Order: sequence, then C-alpha cells, then structure tokens
Amino acid sequence: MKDFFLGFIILPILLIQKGYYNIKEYNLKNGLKVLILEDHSSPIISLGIWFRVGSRNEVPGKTGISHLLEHMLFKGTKKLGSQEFSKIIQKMGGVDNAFTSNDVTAYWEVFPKESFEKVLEMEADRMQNSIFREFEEEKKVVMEERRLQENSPEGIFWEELEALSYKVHPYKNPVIGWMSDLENITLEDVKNHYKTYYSPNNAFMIVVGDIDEKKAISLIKKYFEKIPKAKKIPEVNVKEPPQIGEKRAYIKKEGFAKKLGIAYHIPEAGSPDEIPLSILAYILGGDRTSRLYKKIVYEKGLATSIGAYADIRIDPGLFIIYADLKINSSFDEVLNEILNEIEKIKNEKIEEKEILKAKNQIKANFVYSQESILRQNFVIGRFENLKGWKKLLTYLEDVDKVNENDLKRVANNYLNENSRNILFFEPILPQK
Amino acid sequence: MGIFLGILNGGMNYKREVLKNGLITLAYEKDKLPMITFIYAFKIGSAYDPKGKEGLANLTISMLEKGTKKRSYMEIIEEFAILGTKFFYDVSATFSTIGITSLLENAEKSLEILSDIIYNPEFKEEEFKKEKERLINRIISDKSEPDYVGEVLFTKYLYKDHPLSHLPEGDENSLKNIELSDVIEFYKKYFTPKNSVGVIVGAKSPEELINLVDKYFGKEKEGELPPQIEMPEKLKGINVKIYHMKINQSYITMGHFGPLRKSPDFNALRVMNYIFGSGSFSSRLVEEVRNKRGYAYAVGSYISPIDPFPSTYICGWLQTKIENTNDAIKLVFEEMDKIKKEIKDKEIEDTKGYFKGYLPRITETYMQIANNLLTQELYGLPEFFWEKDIEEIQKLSKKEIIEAAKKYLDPENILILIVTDTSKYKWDVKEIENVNIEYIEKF
Repeated sequence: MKDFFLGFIILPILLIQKGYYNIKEYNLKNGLKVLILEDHSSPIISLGIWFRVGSRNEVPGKTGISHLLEHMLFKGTKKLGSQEFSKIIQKMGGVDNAFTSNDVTAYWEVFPKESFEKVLEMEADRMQNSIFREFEEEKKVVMEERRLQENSPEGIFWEELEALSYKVHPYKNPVIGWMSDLENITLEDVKNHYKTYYSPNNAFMIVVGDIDEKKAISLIKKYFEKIPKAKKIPEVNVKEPPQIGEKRAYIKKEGFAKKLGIAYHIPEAGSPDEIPLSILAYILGGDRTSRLYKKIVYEKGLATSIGAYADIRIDPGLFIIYADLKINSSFDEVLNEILNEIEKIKNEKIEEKEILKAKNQIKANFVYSQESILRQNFVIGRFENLKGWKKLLTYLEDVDKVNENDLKRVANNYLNENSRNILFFEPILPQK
Repeated sequence: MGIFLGILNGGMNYKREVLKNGLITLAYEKDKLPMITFIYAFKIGSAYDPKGKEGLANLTISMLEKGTKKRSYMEIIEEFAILGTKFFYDVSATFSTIGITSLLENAEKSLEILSDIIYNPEFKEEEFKKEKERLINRIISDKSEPDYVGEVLFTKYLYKDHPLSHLPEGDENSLKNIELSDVIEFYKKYFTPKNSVGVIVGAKSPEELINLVDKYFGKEKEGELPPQIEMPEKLKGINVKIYHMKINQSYITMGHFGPLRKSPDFNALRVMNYIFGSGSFSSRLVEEVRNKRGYAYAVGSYISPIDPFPSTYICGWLQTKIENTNDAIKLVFEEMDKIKKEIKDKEIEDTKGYFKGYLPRITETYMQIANNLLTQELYGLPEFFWEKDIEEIQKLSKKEIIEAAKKYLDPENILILIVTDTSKYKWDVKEIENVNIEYIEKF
C-alpha cells in the first residue's frame, strides 16, 4: 500500500465551515420546530413533516397502528378527496411518500419551488383535518404488505431477530405490526392515535431547497401557527431490563436461505459511545474491506455476504451482525469466526489505518449526502429525531476524536456474551 | 410554470468527444459539490453470454476488480475505501458498467485505480474459483425469495430460447460450466475502448474532465465488436405459467414486448402507461386494485428498454392474497381494455403536468446526470433527450396516446406468470378465454 493513501480527508469539515448544512431553526408558538436549509442548486424543494411517533409508542394488541395511520393520512381531509394529496403533488411534477420506523413517522414531498405554498397548505390541513376514508380497504393493503414480509426469508429474519433481542420494550414488535393486531385495530383506535400524537408540539418540519429562508418561515407561520398544540403527549417509560445471559433461537423456512444474526444491546442515541460503536461496526463489517468480510466471505468462503452496523435508536438499540451463509457451511464455524474477530478487537491492536478508513468513509458519505435535497432532509431529520440537529454540526469532529481506546472500550462494554442474542435461520430444502 | 431548461446552460457545460483509442467520452460540468462521478460502459451484456455459459458477462465484470498486475483484489478495495471513493459495477442484458464516485481531491487517484482495473486485470485462478462459488451460492439463496423467482421465470418464458431469456447472473448450472479461460477470452474480445462509452460528471470544466478521461483511459486496446443477435420471437396467445412455492400470496407478473426506446411512439406510450399503471397514486391500476379493493400493497406497470431489442413491457405486476389472484388478473385485463377506449382530458393534463415539473428531479444528482448521458449515447437518443422528451410529451394529442394503448397493450398475446401455493390456487378467470396453462415443475 502506498503512503499517500494514508492521508486525512479534510474537505468535509471545510464544507461545513463554508456553509453547507447551514440550517436555520425556528420554533413556532404551538411548539412546531422548523429547520430550513437553503440549497439553490436546483429549482426544487423537499419538505418533511416528522412526527415523533413510531412502533416504539405502541401497546400490546395495537402493534402496527403508527404505520397504519401513516397509510390513512393519504385518504384525504374535508377539502381533499382520497389520495388527492398525492395526485396534486404528482401533477406539479413532484413526488411524495411517507415512512414509519420504530421511532418516527415522516411524510415527505419533493416538488418545484413554485408549489411551496400549496404544499404547506395541504400539509397543515393533513395535520389537523384528516378523514379516514376507505379504512377497511387500506387495512387490507397493509395486511398484504405484511404478507410480503412473511414470504421473504429476509423479512422473517429481521422480525425474528428483534423479537428475540427484546422481551419488554416495544422494539420487540415489527413496525408493520403482527397480523392479528392488524385484524383487530379499529377505525376508532386509529383516530385516537392521530389525536394523541399528531400535533405541532410532537412534530418538526424540515425544508431543504430553492427558497429564501425568511419567505419560507413566513409562509410556514401562516399555515401552521394556528394549529393548536396537544396538551400532553404520552411518554414511553418502558425500559428493557438488562439481559442476563445469551439467548439463542432457531427458525426454519422452506427454501435455500441460510442466515445467522447476532444482536448485542447498546445504549441510546446521544450516548458518548454512539459514534465509537458505529466506527467499530464499520471496522468489523461495514464493507468488503472489513475484518468479518475478509475472514468469513473472502478467506474462508463460508458466507456470500456479511455485515455489521450499530442500530442507534431513541431508546437503547442493538449492535447487529448478520451473515448469509453458503448452504453447506456450518453455523458453528461461522459463529466461532465472528466471535473470534470480536475477541481480537477487544484484545489485540487495531491498526490506525482501519480507523482512518472508517473515518474517511463517513466523511466522504457526508459530502455525497448533500447531492440530493431529499437525502439532506433525511439526514437532518434523523439527527433531529434522535439527538437534536445541532449534533450534525459537530458530527465530523466527534468522529475524528474517536481513537483505538474508545473502540476497545465499547467492544468490551457491549459485545458480551450476557447481552448477546443469536438467531439461526435454517432452510427446509425441497424434497427430491 | 415554464419548463426548466437550466441544466443545458446553452451546452457550455457539456462536451462529447471520441478519444484516439475510440472511447466515446461525454463530460458534464456540475459544481454543486467537490466530487466527480465516472461511469465506463462496455457495450456488452448478458445477451452475449454463450449458450450454456449464462452469467459470463457478469462474472467477467466482477473479475476485473479481483486483482491487476499492480494490485491484489484486497489492495484495490482497500485503496478505494481509504479514499472514501464509492466503487460500483453492474451488468444488464446489453451493456455493463463499472465506475466510481469520488471526492474531487481524490479523483485522479480513484481514476488511476479504475483504469488499472479495466486495462490490467490479472484474472487469477484462485480469485475466479472464489467468486464463482460465491455467485453460485448467492443464486441458490435468492431462489427462496418469491420476487426473484418470479423475475427469473418471467424472463425465461417471455424470451424462450433467445439469449435474453436469462438474468445477468445466470444460474448455478451455467456458472459451473464457465472456466477462467472463457472469462479471459470474453474480456479480450469485447472489453475494448472502441466498444465502450465513458461518462464523467464533476466539478471541473468539460475540457478538463475529458483530459482526465484521456489521461487514464486513453490507452489502445484491440478487440472485436460483439456479434449480431437475432430479434426475439413475439409471444403468441395467452400463456399462463404457474410455479409453486409455499407462500401466502400470489406473485403475478403479466407482460409482453414493447417498443424500442428510440421509437417515435415511446413518449406516447410513457404517457399512456403513466395513466395506466406507472403513475403511482394517479394510476388506474393503483386505484382499482389497491385503493378500491385493498388487493395489493404494490401494483403497477413499467417499460424496460433494452435496445436494440424490443423493450420488456410489464403491464401488470402485483402480489395479492391467493384467493384474490383470479380477480386481480381480471381487473388488469379490464383496465387494458378500458384505456384503449377512453382517456379523460384531466388524466392527460395531469400527466403532462407531471412530466413538465419532474425535470429538475431527474437531473439533480451527479449519478442521475451520468446515467441520462449514458442512456443518450447507448440508445442513440438526441442530445439532452430528457428535455426534448418533455417538450414532445406536452404536444401529444389524446388520439396519439390512445393509439399507443391500442398498439402496445396486447392482452391477446401475453405471458401471465403466477408464483403461488398451487395447493391453494386454481386458475379460474372465465372472462379470459383461450388460455394455455402450464404448471412449471422445475426451473
């Protein structure tokens, strides 16, 4: 390897100093936080309304309600018919959609800048006046979405890994919900969920694109400031108790897919260990240069792919390692190789070059993320939801501060047998 | 709202040049961020795989990064990683791409590595064995995913014995037949600058970008042009193919051939198809199948051009509970019939509005611009065709759009592929007559 490749990438920090991610924050009287980022590279705008509710906020028997509600928000208001919101966006040349995760439900649009006011008017209407038409039909749509997950080994694998890793916290439930819960959720339940969580003081708005910030906030105030705030948003007080020993689960499905998943409990977003855990995940399984890929896919040929990531959430998340095994590979062999690599991280030298590579990847991705106004919206939204958008401004400096000792510390603190969950996904091969 | 013609900038930020070694190079200046994207496309894809060795083009391109005379496979991916450079490759039926997205400060280093990969691959036996084994196992594992199974079978039965009848990765048996010598021969023959296109988009002037490409990719390399492939034979009749998997939905794919990308009908068909099934919540299929009946989460239709061959026109794609299968198929047929008879003025107006406004969205990122330019060159389309298409779409008449439906939606000559649990499903669509039904035992 040539020496010049060991240089630092300093560009992204300069970019921040130059004014990229130059976000302006406003707080409306009703509690709606608004984040605006001017980007005049294309005559388009991305708008996101992020509600601080997801499967994390759901109770037993009602799993999937946040996601079902997300679907129902496309069914119109008194002013707009079913799906009319999307049809209007489309005929402007725009695109819209929404997503629900464990921690958030977000609605987003990208559209020509001339349509900004119209989109604001429609989003403000949707926040307070949604009418849930065609409820039974939409429930069927969501049940079909769930069936897609049930038919895919990939879908089953992730659902089972989460269910194994949590026993108390709602993170044990799939975002899409369990089928029997979907069958039983009523229109009244969905309306209550809407009333409880969809208010300006439980949301934030992100605007990125070709608009003057002052003009934008003035229009946002015009449409949103009159929406009343909710008195009280219920808090999630459920705490996952410490795991007191390794858990293993074995599942089987027809087909040829053989998978292994390992999940360790890690702290919540905002913890000082968050960034070291993300860098550690990169070194272990972030790409094809990672330790696990080199050893298990490349050298030993035991799997076709492998990966690792720190799934950072509002409440304590998981450090996940996953592998697609070759059909004749042994689970034990792959598992032992993974555990060996983790022990090496804890006990042996981590090369400076490995750490530098992880940091350079993060910095370069930071630049690439600014190519698209929607991607910028998502980056800001994720930071704001998990730990406050201002962390974005110090993110690259925080990444740079991480050293070998930090990585060893988090590996020793979190990647332990007692906190470990292992899922074995075995194929039931067709009979010849 | 006027049509946004901002990216053209009078053509000042764009240049096309044929390098001395024959490499057609398209360069576009975009200075939003200090980065570049470069795609090197070989006009060779899986349609040129020899019979019995399907997957050869894919295996060849994946072998390029597996070591050169100067660098090992691991050194290559390590160097890219430490530079923060994204490296990618892909194979389609008619062309293969390999490229990078890099920070501007690392552009030359990244292009030098890419050039080494493209011009000096070493094709080591050990790496070949590993990669072949990995790809075979990947395919075996993917056969558990019903959508993948659907795609493989639809392609197979739509194109029958034609070279287009397999996915780029091939299958486990055809991969076993491929030797390293096949890869080397395929590379030597077809992976040449004269048979390739380079597209570069970045924060430098078009002249500087062309010079960069010339510096790293201007090397001579002789070879052959790919052979001519005959046109595939059009399907006749209504062909229903049913394949069993133990699942709780039917994965339905319906379709036939469509026009060439450069056909004068293409834009009329796009507009019709947007109204029919590709226009998300504005489409008729979504309205009838999803919104009114709750039959499917995802439903739609789409056209995939593969010039010089006719495009693949999927005119109905959905997954539904097994008991809804027959009714969902019937609905798609009804909609095919209806759109040939009537399209409302408002539907056309809304669709034209969509195309008018979407231009900035499809020219926003470096990769989008690079891909648009590549499509332009590979499909022989006019310069900045994406802007000209929109102007053309605004001029289309209702008659032309309905004519496109009549000409290209062909429910009487169609393939209907159903991946389902055959113990729970039986074809029973009385409204569709003269159907050839076949249960697929093996694939």
